[in-house]
This record gives sequence, structure tokens and C-alpha cells, in this order.
Amino acid sequence: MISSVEIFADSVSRILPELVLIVTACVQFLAAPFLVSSDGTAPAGLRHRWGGLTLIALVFSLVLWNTSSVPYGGASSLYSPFQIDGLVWFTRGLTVAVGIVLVLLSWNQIPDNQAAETHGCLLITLAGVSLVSVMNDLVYLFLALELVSIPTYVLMYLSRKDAVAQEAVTKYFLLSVFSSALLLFGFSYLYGVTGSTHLQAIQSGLQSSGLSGVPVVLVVPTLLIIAALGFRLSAVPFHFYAPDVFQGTSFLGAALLAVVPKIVGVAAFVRIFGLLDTTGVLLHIGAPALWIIAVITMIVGNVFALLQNNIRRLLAYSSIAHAGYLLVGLAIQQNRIAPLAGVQAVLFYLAVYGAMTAGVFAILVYLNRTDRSIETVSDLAGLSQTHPTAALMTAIFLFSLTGLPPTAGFLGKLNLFMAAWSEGTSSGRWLAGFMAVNAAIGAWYYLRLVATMYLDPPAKPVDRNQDVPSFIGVVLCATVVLGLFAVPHWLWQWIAMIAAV
Amino acid sequence: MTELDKYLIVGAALFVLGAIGFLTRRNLIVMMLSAEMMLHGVGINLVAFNYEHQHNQGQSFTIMILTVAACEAGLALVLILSLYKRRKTLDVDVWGELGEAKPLCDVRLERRATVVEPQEEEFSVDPRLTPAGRLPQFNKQESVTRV
Repeated sequence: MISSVEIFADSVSRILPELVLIVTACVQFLAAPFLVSSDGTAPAGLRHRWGGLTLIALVFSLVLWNTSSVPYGGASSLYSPFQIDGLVWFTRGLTVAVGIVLVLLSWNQIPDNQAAETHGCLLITLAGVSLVSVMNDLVYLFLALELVSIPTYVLMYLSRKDAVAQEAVTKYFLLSVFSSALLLFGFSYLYGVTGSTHLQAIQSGLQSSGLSGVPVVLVVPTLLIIAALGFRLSAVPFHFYAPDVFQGTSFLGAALLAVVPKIVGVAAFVRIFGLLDTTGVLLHIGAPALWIIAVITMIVGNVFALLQNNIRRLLAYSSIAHAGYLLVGLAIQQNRIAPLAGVQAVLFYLAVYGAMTAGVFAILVYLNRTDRSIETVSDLAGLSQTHPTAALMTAIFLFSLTGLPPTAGFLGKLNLFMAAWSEGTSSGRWLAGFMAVNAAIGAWYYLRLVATMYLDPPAKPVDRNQDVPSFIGVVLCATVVLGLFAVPHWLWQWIAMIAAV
Repeated sequence: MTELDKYLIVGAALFVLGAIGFLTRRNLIVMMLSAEMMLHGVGINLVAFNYEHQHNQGQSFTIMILTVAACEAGLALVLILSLYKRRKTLDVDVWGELGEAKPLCDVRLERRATVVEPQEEEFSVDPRLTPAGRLPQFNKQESVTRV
């Protein structure tokens, strides 16, 4: 018999890295009002202190993550809503790493009197992201998803206050609530059919009924769940908010929305569809829809990105296209020889995508000035002459987004392509083919940016920039993008461990 | 038709009506209410399934959903109020500045110019729902003193 105290202690020990983030955020929310005077002015440099605290919390969380033993197999528990396995280990590390870059990126972007709230929201969002992969129960999974969403709205609202930003955040908010409702409707039927909200129990319940015995009633809920997760991934037809919201919100908000919901979407997808358990009953229902969504998402993202002149809209369509690539990996699961090849390729791509996208936004923050804002592609003209280092870094990230060696983006795309091709079915090969064609289309608009930077004459006067934190973020991302090309095994060994379940 | 089916039909009907309302209505508060209606459709489903399975997981899920929905409603009101303060209307068509660049956006801009003209009022009133059916009594004098 296990006492409730033991269950509590066990549960707490499972989510220590997230608890560190949440406690720090609570301290920030509570202490912030006392450091800002009643008319809203704060002592100069307050943002450095709050930023430092946030960074310390993230590094502490990273240390806790790093010292915890890598769990083999599913250390699941009937008593605890938290399960710790390889996926959790991977997501946790990725989330905290992305969080460090986001903090560096936002460092000088937020006013002193709102630094604590912004950083607090960011920390809670990050805690929510890694909790999504920890939860093994539909109820808690939903709570973790909302723990990501709600601070995101506040953060987007705080970080930019003009009319356009208010429109963007309201649009995102309403559609996000709508997608939660779709997800919950799907959840309610999953619970109804299997009689449990526990994810393992759901998977085994579905498996025992077998592929033929799957109730027809599950078809619509499965599609609704795919739709709701597609909203997080910004997959077609739930992509239309992304360009508008990216355009309207701050660079911090856009960077957050480009990276964080993708991690959430993939982690939740793997959990709900039980991709690691290789039962795949739900996936059997959803696979054709996923295939179609993946293809259309890739095409729409890349083709519309060709038309864009606003750089944040362009990056939004780029993120839609990359959502398509991620969906390719999620759609291919019928591979009998290596059933986890798709998931592994997706996770590798997710890490690479996080590094290169956060890197691009960090560069934009670094270059952006109130008197010299970066809005359209032509604002980057002649960057190689005014900021040679920044231009080189941007080129690295853009090559990586295109999928050219010597960057990690190349390996990520190659992995996904190989996983799709080796599935052994004609649909898998078609998917690989569509992906290759789309990577080629994508090359046009990424390389157009590189050409603008290197071949066009500078449009704006030279401006020496001193935003050190965001430049540190850029260097970190560039190191990851180049480093993962040199030693992909460093990341791949953790991902391979997920398969060892 | 079993007892369970009847509840499920009610739940699905609420959900679908909410979805239709969300997609067709152009008033911010009504859109939010429609989204809440979808959540309550889910709640009915969960409680019905819970009764069928005779344990408490579905009910606790419903309570969690209600709690989160309350949080979201609070946040929604803050956002809607901040939008209202800027444009003095709840109509979402007033807000269309984000979108594709010129060639694709012209139609939308024209529509915005014709449909809405943000009215500058000398006093600030709280947002009100557009009346359905009968016109509600609205005392301007009272709102001035309240503000």
C-alpha cells in the first residue's frame, strides 16, 4: 500500500525541472508590483535583473534535467499523472534550450516595468510545453495545453500594444479557444469509447478491440483531434491565422509562436496517438487525412511564401511549410521494419527547426531599431556591408531552412525524406517526392533573402548595434545549426533512446 | 435509441451550434459565447459518458474544463474591452489591418471603409451586445454618471 505522501513525493520528483520554472514565475508575478511605482515607472535596468533571474531559473532547470538519469522504457505509474520516458527527456531539454534563446531575444525588447510579467509568462509557457509530454492522462494533458496557451496570450498582449497587435492577439485567442473546443470534443469521445482518461488505458482499450472493431463513432473525433493539433502546428486548413498574427505581434511573440506550439503539437500528437506504443489504432483512422494535410500544408506554405514581401509574413509561411515537413514524419507510421523512424526524424527535425527559426528571429531582433525597423525584405538589403557578421549568421540560418549542407537543416530534411521513402508503400514515396519538390520551391524565397543581403546596395545608413543578449542568442543558435551537422550523433543518441522503449 | 444517445445528441447539437455561431457571428462577445457553448457541449458528453461508465473521471474532467473556461472568459473580456476602447465597437469587421499586401487586400479595405467608421464619442461607455429581437432600453445619461 502506498501512502498519499509517497505518491505526492514521487509526483513532485518527476516534474522538478518544471516546478523550478513555475515557482520562479510565481515569485516574479508576486514581487513585480512592489518594484514598480504606482504610476507605472520602474527603476532603470530592472529588466536586466528579471532577465537574469529568468535565465538562472532556466539554467537551473537545465542542470536538473541533465543530472536526472535518462529513463529507459516507460516509467509510468498508475498513481501518478506523470510519466517519464525518453520523449519527456527530449522535450524537456529542447524546451529549456529554446527558452534560453527566447529570454535572450526578449531581453532588451520589453520595457522595465513589464519585464517581470513578460518573463513570468514565458516561464509558465515553457513549463507547460514540457508538461505536455509528461502527462499521461487526457485531463492533465488538456490542462498542460492550456498552461501553454493562456500565458502566450498575455505575453503577446504585453509585448506590443498598438492596434495591430491587439487585433493579432484577439485573433489568436479566439481561434485558440475554438481549437481547444475541437480537441475536447475529440477527447470526450475517446473517453466515452474506452471508458478511461488514462492514455495507456485508452491505447490498450482501442487495441483490444482491434482494427476491425474500431467504432465508426471514433472517425469524427479523430479528425477533430487532428484539426486541433493542426492548429498548433499551423497546418492547412488551420494555418490562416499564422501570417496575420506573426505580422501583428512583436518579434518575441512571433518567435514564440513559430517554435513553441510546434513542440507542443508534436509532443501531444505522439502522446494521444500513442505513436511510441506502436498500436496505432487511432493513427489507422487518421493516416489518410494526415497524408493529405501534410501535402497541402507543404504546398500552401511554400507557394504563398513566394508572394510575401513582409518578412514576418514570409517567416510565418515558412513555418507553415515546415509544419508540413513535420506532418510528413507523423503521417508515416506503417513501416514494419522501423516503426519509429518517422517519429525519430520528426523529433530531430523539431530540434533543428527550433534552433534555426529562433536564430532568424534573434537576428531580426538584433537588427531591429525603432528608427530602423525591419519590416520588409528590402530592409535587409546590403546587410553584408553594414553588418557582415549578422549577414553571415542570417545566411547560415537561411541555408539551414532551405536544407542545404553544411547545416543541420540538411540532415533534418534528409532524415524525414529517408523515413518517408523507406516506408515501402507508394503513398510514402509520393510523400517523399512532394517533400523534395517543396524543398526546392522553398529554396527560392530563402535564397532570395540571401541575395538581397549580399547583392543589393545598402538601403539604410550604417547603424552600430549594441543589443548583446540577442546576439548571444544568435551565436547559440548558429552553433547548434552548424554543430548538429558536424556531430548529429550527439542529438541522435537521445532520440534513438526513445525507440528503446 | 438508448438513454446515452439522447445526451450525446444534445451535446453534439450544442457543439455544432456553437461552432456555427463562432464562424458566422461578427460580434466579439457573441463569438466568445459561441466558443463557450462548444465547451459546454463537450461537458454534456463527458457527464453522459461518465454516467454510462459509472466512475468519476468524466465529471472531474468537466470541472477542469469549466475552470479553464472561466480563466479564458476573464482573459477574453480583458481583450475585448481593450479592443472596444480603441474603436468603440464590438464588430470584428472593424479590425482587418492584418492581411495580404495590397493586391489581395483591396477588397477588404474597401469593405472596411464602407462598413465601419469608428465613432468618436465624447463619453466612454461599456461595450454592449447588439440587440437580438427587441431593442434594449439604453439610458445614455446613466452611463455618463457611471463613468
